[in-house]
This record gives sequence, structure tokens and C-alpha cells, in this order.
Amino acid sequence: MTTPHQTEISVLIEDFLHSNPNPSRQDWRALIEGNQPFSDQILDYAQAYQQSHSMSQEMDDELLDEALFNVTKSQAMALVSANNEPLNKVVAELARYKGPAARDLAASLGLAEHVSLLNQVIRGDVLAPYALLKRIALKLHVQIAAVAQTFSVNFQNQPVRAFKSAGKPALTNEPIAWAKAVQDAGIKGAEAERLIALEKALD
Amino acid sequence: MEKEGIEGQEVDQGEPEIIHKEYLRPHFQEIAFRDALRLNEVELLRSLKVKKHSDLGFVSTEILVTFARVGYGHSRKCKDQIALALNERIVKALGYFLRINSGWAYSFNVSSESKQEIVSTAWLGVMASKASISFAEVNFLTFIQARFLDWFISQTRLKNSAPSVDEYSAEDENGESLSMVEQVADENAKTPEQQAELKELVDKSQGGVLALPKKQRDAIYYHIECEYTQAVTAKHMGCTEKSVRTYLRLGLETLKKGIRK
Repeated sequence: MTTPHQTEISVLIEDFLHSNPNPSRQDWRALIEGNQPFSDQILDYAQAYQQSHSMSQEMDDELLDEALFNVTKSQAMALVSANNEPLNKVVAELARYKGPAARDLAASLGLAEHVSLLNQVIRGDVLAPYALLKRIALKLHVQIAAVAQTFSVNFQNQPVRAFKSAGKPALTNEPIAWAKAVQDAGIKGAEAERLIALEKALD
Repeated sequence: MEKEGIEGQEVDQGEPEIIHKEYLRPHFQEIAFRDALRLNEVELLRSLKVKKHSDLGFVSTEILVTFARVGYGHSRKCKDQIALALNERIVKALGYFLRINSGWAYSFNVSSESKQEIVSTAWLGVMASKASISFAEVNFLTFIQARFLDWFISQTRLKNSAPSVDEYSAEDENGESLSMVEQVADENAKTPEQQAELKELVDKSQGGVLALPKKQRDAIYYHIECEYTQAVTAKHMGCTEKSVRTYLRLGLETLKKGIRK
């Protein structure tokens, strides 16, 4: 089996294909000539690429090789479910922002003094808007989906709360919406609008 | 689309340097990604069942890669379904690749075990990058094609790792070493008809060229694909023009006969 190293050469080729989705012979030639130390490997790749037909079409109608799918599915599931590293990284990074540091984090994320909103998001009680997830990911140098997953896991891992209520207790099995959390926090006016606008922002 | 700068980490000297290039999602992909993150478990499971990209709720393969790379999913069931959906796309992509490049399967004798190995290689490729956003997350089709090609290239290297005729040499009357290729009788430079014939053969060979010994393959690539003269080809390959002509002739003969294992 080939080892899938993300090497300088594979990055060089991926980058090249990213900016030249349909490279011509001249493009390949320029790549080879401009990267003499790797010319031999690029040459191998250029030959293979030019000999193959481009996979530029959608494969909706492609018949599934059921036998191949079945023999490869356990590896696929194992690779995905055993992959805890990105989440562990998020947890470790978040652990650095306890107490006063959490205030600084909230401020740096554009939440101003609303650290309680950030705490609710981290606990998973509140569904974080995409822009906030992205800001957290950038701040912590982690993946956005890993941040979302961490908050989701935090929500699932919360102990079931006890209720002292005359009425019927209601358990929330879903995080509450960001806009509602902003409202519940008593934030009003332009500040509320600014925070709620994060829901649609891509940043 | 890509950010400036490459995040790299050093490895032992002699090992290939592992690099995690960062990419940025195009705007339309980012909107789709944002929307996918908003799906709850039931909605996500429902979306994963949508098979056609034109149908409502379809989750793009780039997003599946993102989810797989971080082990995203509201539950174990969700993670498994993400893995299965991505596996299905990879298996389909391989089927499509082999169908549109039908000559390759023949030239490389692609068995069911080989296909399994190719899928496995592709999966490891998906999970290998440590970048926040990897190439597979912005351009899956090109990425997966590159991983399939990796496998075929590795097969040609394996083939070419056996001692080639270039390794054998003899001494001439002056005591200088001559490669076996140098000793093959030279033929004059190709006529335009032969040149055209070789070009046509290369175009029709559907991967057959890749099954040729490396020197022949390189000579054909430089001379036919890059349209270098034999002199420039010789310079690139570090051999004589006579050797280039020999490699081209041997390549042409092999392509004519068809690649036989």
C-alpha cells in the first residue's frame, strides 16, 4: 500500500491542479521546468494525469460496486470513529481559557462583555452561530467542525438536571437557538441586533 | 484560494517532509458547510440518504470529508453514516475512474484486491492532512483522482524497481562503460510519419504508456507530450540522443504489441 504522505511534491501538485483545473501540456511543462528538483516525480504524475480522463462529472448515476463497498466499509467507519485527535485538541485549547481568560476570549471573539453567552455555547446549551464557531476555530487553531462537535459532545455529556417545580418539568434535548439565548440574556437594542446578525454571517 | 504560507513539521532527515497546506472554502461551499453544521441528528441522517447532488438536502462530498476528518456526528450512528456515505462516494469515484480509463484496469491488472487497496489508500489520504481545511475539502474530485493516480504511479515504480536494461553495461574497446541501451543499434531520427504514429499510439494507449519502463515512458513524455527535440529530451534525461531514439523505438514497439504482463 502506498503511504499517503502529504509531501512537498503532493502539495505542489495539488496546488497546481487547484489553480489549473484543466492543465494543458504547456502548464505541465512549465511546472516541470520550474521545479527541477522534483521534475522526476512531477513527470510521473504529469504522465498519469494526462493519460487519464478528467473526473469532472458528477457520479450520481455511477453504479455502486456493492462488493467493494462492503469490504471497505469497516475500515471507513473505524477511521472516522477512532479519530478523536481534533476534538482532544479543541478541549485542550479551551481549557486554557478559564476564569478571567474566558472574558478575554469572549471579547476577542466579538462577544464584548457577554462571557456568559460564550460559556453557554461551550457547554453546548446554545447553538453557536457559524461565524462564532469560525472565530473560535481561528483563535484556537483548530477545525470549525471539531469546535462544533466538541460543544455537541459537551451538551450530551451534561448530567440530567433535577427540577424543583410545581409545574411539569421540561427537559431540553436540543440546544437553544442563538437568538433566543441573546434575548434571554437581556441584551437589547443595537447590541442584540449585532449579536443576532452573527447567525447569518460567514465572517 | 489558498492561504499564503505552508505549515510544515520536520521529520527525520531522509523522510519526506510532511506538509499541511491550508485552503479556503469557496463562498458557495462555505454556505453549504454552515447550513450542514446547523442540522440536528435526524436532519443530518436524512440528508446523508440523499444520493443525487441535484436533490434537496444533498451533502457535498467536500463536507463529508470535513466531517470524517474531525469525527463529526451527533452520535455514533451519525458518524458511521457519514463514513459510509463517504465510502460510497469513494467507491463510486473509483468505479467511474476505471470506467472512463478502461485501458488502465487492463494494463495494471486491477483485481478486486487492488481496488480495495486503492480505496484504502484514498481513505488514508483523506485522513492524512492536519490542515484546518485540506485540499480534499475544497476540491474532492481532483483530490480523489490524484489519490487514484498515486496508486497507479506506485505500481509503475514497483514495476520499474526491478533492474532495468539501463543498469547493465559493458566496456567498449577503450575501456569506457557503455549501457546496454547504448549498444543497441541506432536508428535514424524518426520520420514525421513515425512521429505521428507514436503520438497516435500514446493517445490511444489509455494508460499503456504508464506500464512502460520508466526511461521509455519519460522519453515518450518529453518528446511527444512536451514536444521537445530529441536533443533537449536527452538533456532532461541525462543520456545521449542515441539512447533517446532507442527508448522511443522500444516504447513504440511495446505499445504496438500491446502491454503484456
